[in-house]
Amino acid sequence: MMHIKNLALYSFRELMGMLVVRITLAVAVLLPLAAWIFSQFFLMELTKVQLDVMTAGSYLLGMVLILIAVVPMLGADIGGRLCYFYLMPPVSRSEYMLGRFIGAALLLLLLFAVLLAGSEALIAMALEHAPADRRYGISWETGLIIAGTACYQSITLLAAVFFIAAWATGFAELLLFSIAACALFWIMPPVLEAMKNPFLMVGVPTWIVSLVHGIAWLLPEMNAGQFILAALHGQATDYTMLLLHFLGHAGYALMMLMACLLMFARRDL
Amino acid sequence: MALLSCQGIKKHYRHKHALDGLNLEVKAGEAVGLLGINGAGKSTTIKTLLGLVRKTAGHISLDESQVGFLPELARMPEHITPRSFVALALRIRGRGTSEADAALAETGLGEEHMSRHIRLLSKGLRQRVALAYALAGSPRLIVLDEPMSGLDAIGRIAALELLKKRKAAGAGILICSHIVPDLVRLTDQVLLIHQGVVKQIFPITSHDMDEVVMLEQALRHWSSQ
Repeated sequence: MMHIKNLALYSFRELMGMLVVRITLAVAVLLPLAAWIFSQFFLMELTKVQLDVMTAGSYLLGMVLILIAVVPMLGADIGGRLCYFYLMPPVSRSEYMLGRFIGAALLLLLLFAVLLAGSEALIAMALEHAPADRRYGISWETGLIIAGTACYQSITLLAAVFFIAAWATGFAELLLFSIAACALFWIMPPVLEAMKNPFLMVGVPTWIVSLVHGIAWLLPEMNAGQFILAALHGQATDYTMLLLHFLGHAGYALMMLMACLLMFARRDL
Repeated sequence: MALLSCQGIKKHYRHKHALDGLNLEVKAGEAVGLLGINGAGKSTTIKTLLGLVRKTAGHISLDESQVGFLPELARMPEHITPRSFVALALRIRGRGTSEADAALAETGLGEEHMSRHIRLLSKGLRQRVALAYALAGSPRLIVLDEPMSGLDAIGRIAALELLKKRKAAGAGILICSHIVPDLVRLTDQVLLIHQGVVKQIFPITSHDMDEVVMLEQALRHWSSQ
């Protein structure tokens, strides 16, 4: 446990040392201002526009941080053989991977804490200035749902990137497959969901139907849009569904991480 | 007491036998050198002993509690300071991070370089940082793969003196190097590896030029096989 903690703090410090990470965090700090400026081009529902920008920004910045900071760090570890330093006995391969993962996850948590503070600041401003009938049911929970869903979905993506790092041979491979994973997670689930439609599946062989359902089960639903839209439109959040969505992601991340540890333990470095 | 020993280590890749029944032992207060031409299996030996490469067969006994390792450098972490980097090694070895500056100074790294990012340092300075990482906290077993790579003459002499001091203090050293005079100055025996097998073992007693010449001749002999 001690080695995991040491490596996690070290990884967090190493990531914070990257200029690109500091720029991303600065963008996250400035995002509410950008959202406010952008909303001034609209005539109504300004808060919704601002929170839409915060939503898009949260998802984008999480993904950017993983692809431009975590992937190069892991790429250097594996491809540049930097992991030899960290895997020095008595540090085990699992401790190394978990330490790196937790360090990167801490950075994501910091990013989403900044974004949450930004969203809440916009919401507080709106609640203070907007008359009661123009608040559209937006409350402090809206900001929490935006940052929270973006956070756990980014951590799922992070786990997938670590799974890829467990078998990738270098930076180029890791980056390529990580981008592919992003695309797969974002594009495939809605397509598969549409394909699962019984009307569409009429006459299709059973094994193909099972295959589609199997792949749909394998890929996590990366879009928490239904919860964010509901929150932005003042509808009551279905917390049971939100919890299930979160648990699905937690399970997926855990599965990826376990597979990562198993594969990494067996490979030559 | 043997800090590291292995018997019959084999490592087979798909089309190549990298190691073929290698035996080796490093005791406390002893330095063992690995010598061989490129591709002889020196680095694979070290990586296999440390578990970075999975062995195909054989037995390894390693006191894992205190191992310092300097890999043959491809890269160094760029976005961290030497101080934080060496502090990690100290934490792993259960030591206080306050020793980091002393460990870096011991390898000849100036105070002004300790808090700059490693990416801003020259190759030689990076090598000193890597050496400090391996030696920080006085590990009982020190494993070094080409430790003198990139060091200038002064740096090399300082590194050798430092390693001799560690050996005298009871540390076991396993070193792989292409620089024969360095091996002769530091080690008690040199294992000549060729095609993944220890072909000859040379006890080093007088640490003089005659032994350098003898090792170079043996190396030339096996490389022509």
